[in-house]
Amino acid sequence: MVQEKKIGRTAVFLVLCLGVVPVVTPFVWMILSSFKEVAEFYVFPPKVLPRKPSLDNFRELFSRGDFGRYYANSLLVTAVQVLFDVVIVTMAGYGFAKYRFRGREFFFTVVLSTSMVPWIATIIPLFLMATSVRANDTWFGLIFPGLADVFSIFLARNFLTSIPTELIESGRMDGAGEFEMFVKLALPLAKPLIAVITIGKFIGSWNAFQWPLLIVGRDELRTLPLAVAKFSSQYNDAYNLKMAAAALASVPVLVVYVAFQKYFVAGISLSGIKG
Amino acid sequence: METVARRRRGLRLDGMRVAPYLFIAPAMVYLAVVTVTPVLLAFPISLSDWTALTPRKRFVGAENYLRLLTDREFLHSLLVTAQFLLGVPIVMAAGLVVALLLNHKMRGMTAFRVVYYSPVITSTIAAAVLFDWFFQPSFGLFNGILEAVGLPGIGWVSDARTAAMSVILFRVWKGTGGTMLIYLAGLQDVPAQLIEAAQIDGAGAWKRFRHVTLPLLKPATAYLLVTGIIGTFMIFQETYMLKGPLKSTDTVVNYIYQTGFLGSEMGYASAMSFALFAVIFLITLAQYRFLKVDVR
Repeated sequence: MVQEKKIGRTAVFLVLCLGVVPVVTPFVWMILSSFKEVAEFYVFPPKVLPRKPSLDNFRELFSRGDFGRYYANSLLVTAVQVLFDVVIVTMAGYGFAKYRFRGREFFFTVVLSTSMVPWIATIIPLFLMATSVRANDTWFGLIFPGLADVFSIFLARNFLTSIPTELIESGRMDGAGEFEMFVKLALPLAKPLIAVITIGKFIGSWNAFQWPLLIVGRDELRTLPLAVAKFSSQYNDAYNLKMAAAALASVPVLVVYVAFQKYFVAGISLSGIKG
Repeated sequence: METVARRRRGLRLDGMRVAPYLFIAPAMVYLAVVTVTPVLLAFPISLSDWTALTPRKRFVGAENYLRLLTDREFLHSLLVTAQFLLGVPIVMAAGLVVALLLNHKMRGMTAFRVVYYSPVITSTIAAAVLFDWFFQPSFGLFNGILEAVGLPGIGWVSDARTAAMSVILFRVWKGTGGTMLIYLAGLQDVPAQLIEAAQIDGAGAWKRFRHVTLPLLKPATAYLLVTGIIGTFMIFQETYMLKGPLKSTDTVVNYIYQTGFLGSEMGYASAMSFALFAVIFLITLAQYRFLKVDVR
């Protein structure tokens, strides 16, 4: 029986290892290939390792392709959106979790229903609204529509409900203001929540494509995914540069993800979509 | 003294009364601008001949919707999109298999989970650039693999017959981690005693899975099915990057993008997206019916 169980476990382990191969190969391939020369891409069958690894591709992206700017743009957009997202979402979550007030049900229903509206339903009117206030091709137009993730409000409300109300009551006794209590009592206890929101939003903002594609025309505002897409169609045959660009766009997210992976699972269980 | 105290209490009461509205205000303003107003505008815009370039717009009634019914390209894009629905059960089945494997109490499971989920968090654009190269018929990785096992290479995205299938393959790679995570969460809610009881009753592994685990995963399955179908209706980035010949991968959203943003026929594009929204809305409603029935 014990022997059987051991064999079963080894089998599970082996199958999982086997499954990792198709998942990981593209990443490994992308990173190795970003150090290759263009000629190596046309060798058939393809070789795994670069013949003479060099940083030339990256150098070219930054000197000729202006990828430094795109990188900075992506960082700026992501930083601003994450910051606003954390503030807007935790505040709203706290309001819904810790107060009884008139219209609470109504406002929460608004959050609930808007979180289910698919982007395709809003994107054209939103674009026309942006056009009418001349927000096309501006930082404001690029950043504002992605400022908050409505869905995280549920997460925040669920998490903040678990903070003991007595704690807040005691703060009230001590004469602390409502906002002060939120900042000084609730937020320090909500660090896991903030981590979940931050990482989720970081990845969402960093990878955002649809809206930036519509609203950005100027090169100065281009974010990394836009730059990679543009580059990919412009330099159709420069696979070496394309791989390096794809690596530049995806490696930061992979690093952040691996470093903070425990918060992803926490996010899933907090949001309560267990089905 | 007393009046000061009363005033303070009064102020505090006021603070408590106003505070919740101030806390939710930023979110509500944001939602009003970014979601509520656009949703309300969507239908009126679809009844106009709004173009992006000229601010003038004219009310044209149901004209855009009538045009929709006879627009061959739109109907074609619907069929293309429908093809991608094939990927939904594949991604779900693959995610379920991985989740079942990961649901063993063993060391290293976290590492496996992290790895299997990693394609989900990767930029679709970057990953598509990579797959575009893998799909190249004359020097790509996939035909290299086919050749290595003695099979003839195929055209992948460059062949209208295999283009949609190639995009599905890409989506399976990208999406399996997502369904895996939902199934894994569902599996962790399956009580171990139930499985043990079935085991004592002499149920084999398949029977336990078929009659105990799978029925308990029904809510997860329903959720994934509905979100999978909705996601399929909105495929855009994948087919923006991996574009097959003869419009073989042009989905409804690709067509909306072409007519509305490249062709600047905003009114017509709006009618298309409103129709798509209606379909998605109906599916969401169906999900609620389905889940409610399930709970009872």
